[in-house]
Amino acid sequence: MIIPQWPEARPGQAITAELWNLARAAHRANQILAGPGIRLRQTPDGTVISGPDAVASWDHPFRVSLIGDSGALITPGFVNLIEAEIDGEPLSAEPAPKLEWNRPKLDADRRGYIAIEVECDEKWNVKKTGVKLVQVGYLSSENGTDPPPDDEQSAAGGVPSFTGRRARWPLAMLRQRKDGGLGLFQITHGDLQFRAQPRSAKVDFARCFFW
Amino acid sequence: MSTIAVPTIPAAEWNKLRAITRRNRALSGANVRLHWSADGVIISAAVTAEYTHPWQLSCRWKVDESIQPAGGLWAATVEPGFVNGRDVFISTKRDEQLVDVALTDEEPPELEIRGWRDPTQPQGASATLDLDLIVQGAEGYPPFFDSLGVKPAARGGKGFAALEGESDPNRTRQIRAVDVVLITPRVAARQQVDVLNPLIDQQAVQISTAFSNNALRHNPHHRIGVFGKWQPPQMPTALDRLMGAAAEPELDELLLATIYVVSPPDYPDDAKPDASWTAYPRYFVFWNLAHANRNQVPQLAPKPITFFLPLAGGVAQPIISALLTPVNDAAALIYAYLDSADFSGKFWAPSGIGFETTKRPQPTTAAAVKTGLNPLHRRIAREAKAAVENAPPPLNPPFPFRRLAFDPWFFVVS
Repeated sequence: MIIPQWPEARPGQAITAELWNLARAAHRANQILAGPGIRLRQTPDGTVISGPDAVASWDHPFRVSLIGDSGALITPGFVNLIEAEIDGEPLSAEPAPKLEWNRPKLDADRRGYIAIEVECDEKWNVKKTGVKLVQVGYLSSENGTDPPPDDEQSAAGGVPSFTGRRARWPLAMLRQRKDGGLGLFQITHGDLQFRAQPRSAKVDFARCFFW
Repeated sequence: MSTIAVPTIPAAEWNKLRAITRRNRALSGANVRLHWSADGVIISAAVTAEYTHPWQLSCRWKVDESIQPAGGLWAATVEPGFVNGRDVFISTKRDEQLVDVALTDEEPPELEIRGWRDPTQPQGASATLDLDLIVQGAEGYPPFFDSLGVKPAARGGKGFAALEGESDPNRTRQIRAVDVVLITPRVAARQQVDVLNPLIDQQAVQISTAFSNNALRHNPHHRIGVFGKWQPPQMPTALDRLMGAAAEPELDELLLATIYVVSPPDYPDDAKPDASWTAYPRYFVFWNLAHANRNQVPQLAPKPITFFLPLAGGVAQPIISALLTPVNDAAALIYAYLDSADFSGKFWAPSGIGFETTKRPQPTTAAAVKTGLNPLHRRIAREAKAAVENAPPPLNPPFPFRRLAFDPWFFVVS
C-alpha cells in the first residue's frame, strides 16, 4: 500500500481541509501497533517497544556457569529423577554448592569436562546419592586425570563404564584458550535418563546410555 | 461585521511537525516485520527465538581471487556441536596441509561449499517406446521460498512442458542447495562366503562374519562434510543377509542442514551462486547428539552335520556327502540370515527438549491490540490476525526445537 506521508507546506500556503486531512492520515498511518511477540508501553515521552524474551540464556537443568577459571555453578538437574550433588550437597541447596578446582584437569589438547558421574548398585540402578558432579580431563579414563590407553570414541558408541559401576556424561566442555583463560561449551540442556547394558547381570562393566 | 482572527501556523512550524512525524516512522530492522495499514503499522517479531543452537551455520561469501570467474566461494562456520560429548571436526587447509580442526577451536574451521544443486530442475528424464518424454519432478524447496519469489520447480510428467515449472513473472529468483552432513565412523560387519569341498566337509558353502574398522582407524573423528546431494548410506537388505553378501557401511551419517542460496530477481537458469546471493540454512538437528551402534555380534556358526562311514573302502561316502551338502548349505544360509551381525548405528539427542513436529500453534496476536466494540480496534485486530495468517511459513521451527528421540528398542535396552 502507499503509505501516506505528512504533506510539506510552503510559506503562505493555506491549511485547507485537504492538507489537514493528509496530515491526519499520515499521523494515523504512523501509529505503532503491537504484532505477535511485541509488547508496547505508551508513555508521554514515547512508546517503549519490547521484543520477545531472549532465550539465549534460559536456565535449563545442568546449565554450567564458570566462576572465573577456578570453579563453576551448575543449575539443578536430575538423572533418573535423582538430583545431582556436589560433595553431598544437592544442586538445589541454598546457597548453591560450587564445583571448585585449583587447576582445571585438562587433556593433552587442553580440553576438560564438567561431567556427572553416576554410580550404580549391583542391579545397575542409579544409587540414591549416586549422581555427582566432577571435573575431569578425560571422559573415558578411570580417574578422569590420567589419559586412558585409547581416548578415541568407543567403537560401539554409547558410554563405557568404570570400576565400581560408574559412568560419566559431560555437561559442558572446557577449552583452555591460548591466553590461558577457559572457554565453556554447554553440552547438556536438560535432565537425563540413564540405562546400562551389561553383557550379563553379573559383570561390572557395561555399555551405558544417557538420553 | 465582526472579524474572526484566524490563527496562523508558520510553514516552518508545520514542516517541523512533518519532520517529527517522519522521524517517528517505523522502519523494518533485523528480525522485525512491519505491516502497514491506514490505521497504523503493526510491528511483529520475525524471529521469536534467538538461541544459537548447536550445529547452527553462519554462511558468508569468502573472497578468493584465485577462484575464477566467481572471485570467491560460499563458506560456513558451524556453531560447536558434540557427539557423545566429543568434539566434531572439519577438514581444513592449515599451513598448506589438510588437517581436522575441531569446531571448538579458537580459530574455528570453515566448510567450503562447492557442488551446488538446483532443486528446481527435474531429477531425471526417460523416453518410452512411443518416444514420449517422461520427466521426473524436481526435488523442490520449502514453501518459505515461494514468498521470496523463487522460480517454481519443474512439475514433472509427460512432454517437454514438464521440464519447466509454472511460469510466473513475479518469481524469477534462482535457488541452489547443498547438504551439510555429520559423519561418524564405526565398526562394520561384512559377511563372507567360503567355498568348501563337499566331499571332505560335506558342505559347499560356509558364511562367516568379518569385522572391519578401517574407517575408524583411518580417521576416528566425528566430522562434518558438505554434499551436493546427500544420500543416506545403504544398509544391507534382508536378501543380502540371506545370501551371505551383506556388507555394512563403515560410516553412520546424519543430515544436519540444507543450505539454500537465493539469487536476486531475473537471474538466468545457469547462474552460479556469488556474493549477490543470500544464504538460508534449513536445519534438521538442533541439539548435541549421542551415538551408538547395535553391537549385535553373531554366535559361532553351528558345525555342519557330518557322517563318515568307513565301510567298503569308503565307496558310500560320496553319496552320503552329496546328501548332506545341500542340508548343511541351507542351514548355513538360514543361520547367516537369522544371526547376522548388525552394527548399524543411531543418533539421538540426550536431554534434548522440544517438539517432534513443526506444526505447532502459532503465537497469538498481541494482547495490546484492544478489540471490544470499537470498529476501528476490531479492524486493527482483524488486520493483525490476517498479517500473521498470511506470513510465509518459517524455514525452521520455532524454539524449543524438535529433538531426535532415543530408541531403547533399537539398542535392546531394557
